[in-house]
Amino acid sequence: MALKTPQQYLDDLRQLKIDLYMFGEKVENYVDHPIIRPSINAMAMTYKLAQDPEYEDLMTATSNLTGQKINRFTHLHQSTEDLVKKVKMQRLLGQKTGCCFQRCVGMDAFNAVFNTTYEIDQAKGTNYHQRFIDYMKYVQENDLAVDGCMTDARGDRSKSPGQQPDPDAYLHVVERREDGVVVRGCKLHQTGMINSHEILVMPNNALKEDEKEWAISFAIPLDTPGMIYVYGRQSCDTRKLEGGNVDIGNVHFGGQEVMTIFNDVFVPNDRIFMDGETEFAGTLVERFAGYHRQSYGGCKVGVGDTLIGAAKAITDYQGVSRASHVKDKIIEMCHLNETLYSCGIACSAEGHKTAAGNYLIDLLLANVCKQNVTRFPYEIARIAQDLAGGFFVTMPSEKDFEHPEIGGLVKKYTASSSTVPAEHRQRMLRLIENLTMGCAAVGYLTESMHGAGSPQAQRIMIARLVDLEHRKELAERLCGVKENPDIDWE
Amino acid sequence: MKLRIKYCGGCNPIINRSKLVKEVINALSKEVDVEIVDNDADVGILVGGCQVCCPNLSQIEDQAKQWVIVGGDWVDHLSVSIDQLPQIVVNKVLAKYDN
Repeated sequence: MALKTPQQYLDDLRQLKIDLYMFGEKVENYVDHPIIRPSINAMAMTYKLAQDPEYEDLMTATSNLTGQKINRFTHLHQSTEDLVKKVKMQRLLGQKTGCCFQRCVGMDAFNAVFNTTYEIDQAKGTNYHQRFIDYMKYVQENDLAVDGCMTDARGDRSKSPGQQPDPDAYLHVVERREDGVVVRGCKLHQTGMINSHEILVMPNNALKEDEKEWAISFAIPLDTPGMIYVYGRQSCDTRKLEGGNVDIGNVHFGGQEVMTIFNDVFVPNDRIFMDGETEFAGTLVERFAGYHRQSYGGCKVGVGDTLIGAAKAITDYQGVSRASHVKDKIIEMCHLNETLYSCGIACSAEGHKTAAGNYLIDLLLANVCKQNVTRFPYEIARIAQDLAGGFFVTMPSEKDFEHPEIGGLVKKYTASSSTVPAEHRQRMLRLIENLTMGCAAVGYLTESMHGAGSPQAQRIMIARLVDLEHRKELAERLCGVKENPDIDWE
Repeated sequence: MKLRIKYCGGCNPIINRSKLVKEVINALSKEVDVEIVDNDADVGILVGGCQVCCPNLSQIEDQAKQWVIVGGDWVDHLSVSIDQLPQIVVNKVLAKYDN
């Protein structure tokens, strides 16, 4: 079974018995919970589109490990063409779901762990890479969704893991057994955690030589004993409990973030891919972040497409779409969105092969891509709100629209044209609200800011990767500060 | 006619790919018997949603004797009117089938 159907994926989740809390209560049936289900639907779309001939060219790939047709989300990129198709797939899924579809972190973790474990083994004589290949075969053959898990609780940000008053502020090894290790800690912001089958854990940051217990990477099933999940709140989340389908904005899809607590969790040896190799922690983090910064040049662009579409629709509905400034603002939204896409494609096309054989993006361009993503979606959202007018934050609830006494009046005064039903305007405004300040703004805006690293993280990488001395010399040659050896025409 | 249809992934299409294919098959069916196949086709249509038409033809080329390449409003590397796209594809397919 190299490709799972969406139904098989849902059946898998129903088999998992996880320790999940939300609003101070334990959640038993999380698959059908109205707040959680939209995020499961978004993940299910990654399975559905892979079955469809109209999308399979992006959604599937041929495994370099097994030769089988697999979901691209489980693929180890074998070329720059694969890297480009990854970005295109992400744009497609952003368009189809209008939210973060949550399977990218795992894909990015697979590729980073794959090439880092190879390099660890080359340097240290360990056998992590073969273990990871065996794990990847299992993932691919069972078409698993895996949460790539990096960001620790981090305690006092001015202190490194080994200096923290509470050593659990960063996930670490607390016990060693013959058959594995026991880990303790907490990973925050885990997008797509409880709609996954497994968790692939990585260290949070570069580590010092004496911080070996924090240099740990491993994979475990979601329902491993000791795992505790606490569901994160999103703006307007309880609208999903109200029973309607208008005020939630996006009828079927949404994202999720989960506080993930490892409360003395056993990890067997065959699932450990780094254990104490502190000098490679920074490499793993940098590569995962690079792949994930590339991802944002696809997924956020797809979501941006839906917001641009919503802006176009609402200006049509409200009768202003022919005004020149309205057209110009929509062009500006497109310009910003396609600029993000350009960065995603560029860092992919400029990718290169690693010693392990899979392909890595151009890290500089991937960081430039993500730096733009920390800004442009906010501007796109600002323009969408400008074009929508203020009614998307003052509009009555959908229950008022259906009220037997006042519903008719509410609809009468919400209608903007004889050809557009009030409900269409109502729904489109709610979608714009959802994307720019509701549940989906978590993914489209704040995740664009902080996901895959906050803006300063990219600026540090850009500073490290750009050769400023080379640029200085170019200028010095041009203005005569330095001799120009190129001026020799003979 | 054995016909192979290969779609691009559809990330940013400027044409409705499935609608185009439906129209092309309907029109072709008035001229010849059409059987959709995955391999050993007389003609293949590579249906790209935009001009990039990113599927790698070299990986599927042996699935059909000849190919018509649609990339948005381009057919076989020439720009065409979107209104005439289905008919132009039909004409190309029939011409290649006759050859």
